[in-house]
Amino acid sequence: MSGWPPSLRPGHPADRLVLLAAVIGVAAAGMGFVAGMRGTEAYVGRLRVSGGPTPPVASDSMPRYGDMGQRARGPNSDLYVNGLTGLVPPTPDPFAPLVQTEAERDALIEARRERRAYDGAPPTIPHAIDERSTGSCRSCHDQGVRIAGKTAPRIPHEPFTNCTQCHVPRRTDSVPQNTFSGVASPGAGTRAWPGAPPTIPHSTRMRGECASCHGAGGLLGIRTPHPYRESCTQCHVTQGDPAR
Amino acid sequence: MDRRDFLMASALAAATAAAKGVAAPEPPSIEGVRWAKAPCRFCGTGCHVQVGTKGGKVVAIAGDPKAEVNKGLLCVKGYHVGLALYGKDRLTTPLLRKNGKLTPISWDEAIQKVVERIQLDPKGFAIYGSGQWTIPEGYAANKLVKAALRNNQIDPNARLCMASAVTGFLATYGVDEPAGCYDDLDRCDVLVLWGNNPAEMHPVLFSRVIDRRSRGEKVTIIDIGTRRTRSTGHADHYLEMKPHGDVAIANGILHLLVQRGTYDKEFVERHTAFRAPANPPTLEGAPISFDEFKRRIAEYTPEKVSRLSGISEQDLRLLADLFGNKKLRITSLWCMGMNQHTLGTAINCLVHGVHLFSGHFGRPGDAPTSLTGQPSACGTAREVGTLCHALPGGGVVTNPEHRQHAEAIWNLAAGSVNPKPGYHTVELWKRFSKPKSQGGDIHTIWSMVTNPGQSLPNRNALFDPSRKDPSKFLIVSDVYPTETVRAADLVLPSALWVEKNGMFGNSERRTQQWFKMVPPPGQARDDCWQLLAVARALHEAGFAGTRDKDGQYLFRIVKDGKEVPVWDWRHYYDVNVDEQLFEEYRKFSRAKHKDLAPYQEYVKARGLRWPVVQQANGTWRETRFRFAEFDDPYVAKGKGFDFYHSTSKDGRAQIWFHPYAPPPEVPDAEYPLWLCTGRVLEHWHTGSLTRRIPQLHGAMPAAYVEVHPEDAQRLGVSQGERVVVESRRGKLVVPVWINGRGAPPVGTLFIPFFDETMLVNRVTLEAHDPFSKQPDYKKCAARLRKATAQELTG
Amino acid sequence: MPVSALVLTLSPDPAEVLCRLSSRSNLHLGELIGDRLPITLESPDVRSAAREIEALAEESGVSHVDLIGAYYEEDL
Repeated sequence: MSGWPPSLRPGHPADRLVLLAAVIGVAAAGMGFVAGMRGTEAYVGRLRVSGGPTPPVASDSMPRYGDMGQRARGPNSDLYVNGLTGLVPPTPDPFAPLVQTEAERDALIEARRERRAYDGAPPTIPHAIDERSTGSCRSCHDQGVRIAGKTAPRIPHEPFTNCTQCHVPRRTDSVPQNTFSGVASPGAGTRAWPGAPPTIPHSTRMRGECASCHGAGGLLGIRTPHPYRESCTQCHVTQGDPAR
Repeated sequence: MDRRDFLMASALAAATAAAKGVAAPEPPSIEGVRWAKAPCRFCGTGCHVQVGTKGGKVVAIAGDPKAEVNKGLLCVKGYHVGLALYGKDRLTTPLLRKNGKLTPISWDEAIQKVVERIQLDPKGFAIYGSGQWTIPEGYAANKLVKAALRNNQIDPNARLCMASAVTGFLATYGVDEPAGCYDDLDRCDVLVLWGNNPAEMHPVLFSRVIDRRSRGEKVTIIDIGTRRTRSTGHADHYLEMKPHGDVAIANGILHLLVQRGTYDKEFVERHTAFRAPANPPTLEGAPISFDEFKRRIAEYTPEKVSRLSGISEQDLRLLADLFGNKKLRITSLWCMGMNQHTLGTAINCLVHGVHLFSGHFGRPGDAPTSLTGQPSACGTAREVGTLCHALPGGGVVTNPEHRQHAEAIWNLAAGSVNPKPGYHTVELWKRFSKPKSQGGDIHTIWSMVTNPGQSLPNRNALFDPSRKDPSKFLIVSDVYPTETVRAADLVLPSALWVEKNGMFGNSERRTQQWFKMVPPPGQARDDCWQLLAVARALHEAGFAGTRDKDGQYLFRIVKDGKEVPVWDWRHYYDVNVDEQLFEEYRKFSRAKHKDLAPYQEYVKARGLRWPVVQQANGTWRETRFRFAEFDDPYVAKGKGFDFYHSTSKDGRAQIWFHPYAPPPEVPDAEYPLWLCTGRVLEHWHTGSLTRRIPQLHGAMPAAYVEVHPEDAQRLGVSQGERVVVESRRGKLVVPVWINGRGAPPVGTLFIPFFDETMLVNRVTLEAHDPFSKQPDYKKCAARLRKATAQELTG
Repeated sequence: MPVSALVLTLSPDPAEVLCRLSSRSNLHLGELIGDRLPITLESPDVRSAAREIEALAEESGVSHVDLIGAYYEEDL
């Protein structure tokens, strides 16, 4: 990029032009300044209620930064209505009575089954994803969120970095016929006696974070009635190899 | 019983149950499901899976936590590998083409038909095999061809995938396969990807590296490629290069190491020698002095390399900075980007050379790591030697000592093994596609466990013509109706994966074993049985080659002193044929220090990395790092390193000088775009298995062409529009994907090859590397245009 | 009156410790599985249950005690 900026050599024809431009510019600035001053004066006039320094006053045209979340205004008011703040995972009252039905449980098991080739398979993703990077997966699934009535569950296994290595979306329902019949969800655990802690009927491989499904923010139908007890495996044990 | 008694009884029951549970640990206990180990059927990573079967069917898969390779983790293909057995259109009866239509016949008829074709002219009968053959299958086929038919006409599809890696190893170390292993991934500080997309292609290995970051470790990843991929998202630096830029870049690094003096002087002095291409060119090349090497490398200045490769001088210096730093441990990964390359041998040698020259070799984490694509390209194609020039254990038919060794093990008369190599893959299919009058001296190909109709380059020339010639006969052993099956003359339905016993050898020299777990459907039978049945039928027809020098049947399998009639399917599993063949094959493995352990050791282990050497206390110890004194038992004390198969016969590895040369076909006015082809995470190869798995097909239902937005705008095509991509050889209609998964630069297209309804290999060219004969699927000249109405409907 | 369900891991050759344990009135022994013995322990209250379990762990011939569950009549 040669020849930039134009040089100001004496006698150079560009000199005159530059000087003229400068004069015009200053004049314009001056006029703008004056015009602006007038506006400012009016504004200042409104605020000035007494002599001396004034405390900041909430005004309709200038909301506080912290209030902006609560205010539905302007073209992005939808954003505030659904509420980015609403994405904060809820911390429900852990002692609130839990109401869930068998029907809800059955529906949940069926919904889970649809996304898994067999019990223990990595579920397919029911929504569109970023093809190129996996950072966005963690933004919802790291803690788990409820958004627009749906739950994005917290990752139930240790956090791996390459999410799409195992989880792929379902882009089409037109899929080939395959007679594979995967092992089903094993159903409820067994209780040694009524009231005993049920055993864990499923493998805990890749399902080490119990709270992901069973916790207070978990899936309705299999939520635990005692989310305030955090050491799940103290009472609930798996069948078979404890190291699996 | 009162309440208290009930309480007591229940408590005791719980305690008893717990006592039982704790006492006998077992795999995930699901009622009625039996679990057993197997390596995954798919890629060369060689993850171990636990296969859950019930009622004669696979019902679940779990990652095997005891496996060192994957430690309980799999990828989406691995998690769904069990479903590969259950597509609705499994082949279940032998079929013969009569009057243009494939009609069911009996196995006896089918075997007789194969024998007929051999007897027609044994010299013109070839077997086209696969890196997905199990080791015993490959061994049986190789023995049939090299010991019985003696025409050396056997070549695997691995010719299309790993051949350049093999020649690179041979030219550098004198012996095939990586010196290091996956342990290097756990230790490296820098990972350099050379035209490689492991996030999708070897996902479990890639996770092994990037998950180290979540444990707080720092791993710098450098992605050198011709387009952005999913791997790029995890990389620290992306170096976009032009096709063949890799050759310039490697030379550029060598140049800077010389100029700055930051090469490893001691390692170079003690353990390496220099080579350059000979005239006429040979794989061994010609020795040159270090001074001569420096003289030749002098022209690869950063300025020139930047011009040739497209990467910036700054980025080249970054690479040289890293390689010049001995404190860092650097692993290079590569696969098809460097192998499917008309300078494939050269670039393989150069990357090995960069590591050797800079001393980034032989310490855990310092490794030039060639990744293998197929589950047993190493274990079967390369190690068993199912190539037109090779013998088991790394031998070659042109070497009289190797021939003698084979004749001794096979008990053949001296001079039985044919010293003339057969035809390599591209040549083989060319001769199959040409009429006899024009030199087409191959009349029958028996293709097993592969899909050449979809995977051969320039299909119009290499595959289609033979289908119109009634004198050419194509036999196909496969599991589903693929492109190749549909064009075949004789179809043999085969058992798949855990429907048979098997062994694979993965990318890190790890041989792995599994047992049959479920029966194959209908009349599908093991590929190995098919080969042994043909051998027996030949023998009964009096074919001389099936008798050894004492007149004994060459494929005699004996148990408790009696011969077992394994050619009779009802008796095939009376004995473990795998074990019998493997124990014989093992005898070849010591010759080049690729020692294999007895079969039973592999039954116990999740694979063992060769050379597996027996210790004084009787146990078998695998070798993780070859040629290095600290781990390789064949390196004498005090040597530090010993490249005991050195081509310069002095224990040294060869650092090659290879000049840059441009690609054979570059974009021009008529075909102004680069076309690159490759794979996606969800699909394995030609999709014959994965496109029948709902979760995988559903995730990636169809092929596409990746186009840069600027190119799309200029050509006037929009997202999803079906367009024509064509070259001098052929064309296909394919939908456009702008801003898709990969991001090619302006002027480049990318099309994956898994979709049999969109055969990109009509467009690719068969130009190949002069030594490895491996064709280049990664770059040719193409153009993209709107499709006509007829092209869209036709 | 809590009932504790326990699994005791016994040292090899457990004949002597089995004899000793079976004579205790507040213990009810199950069948020996390998080196593991399921038992139930009756105690007047939670604190004494805890003390008794600790004491069991100190017994010669007992190498380990696993608490499987604690059962309370009131909970039913």
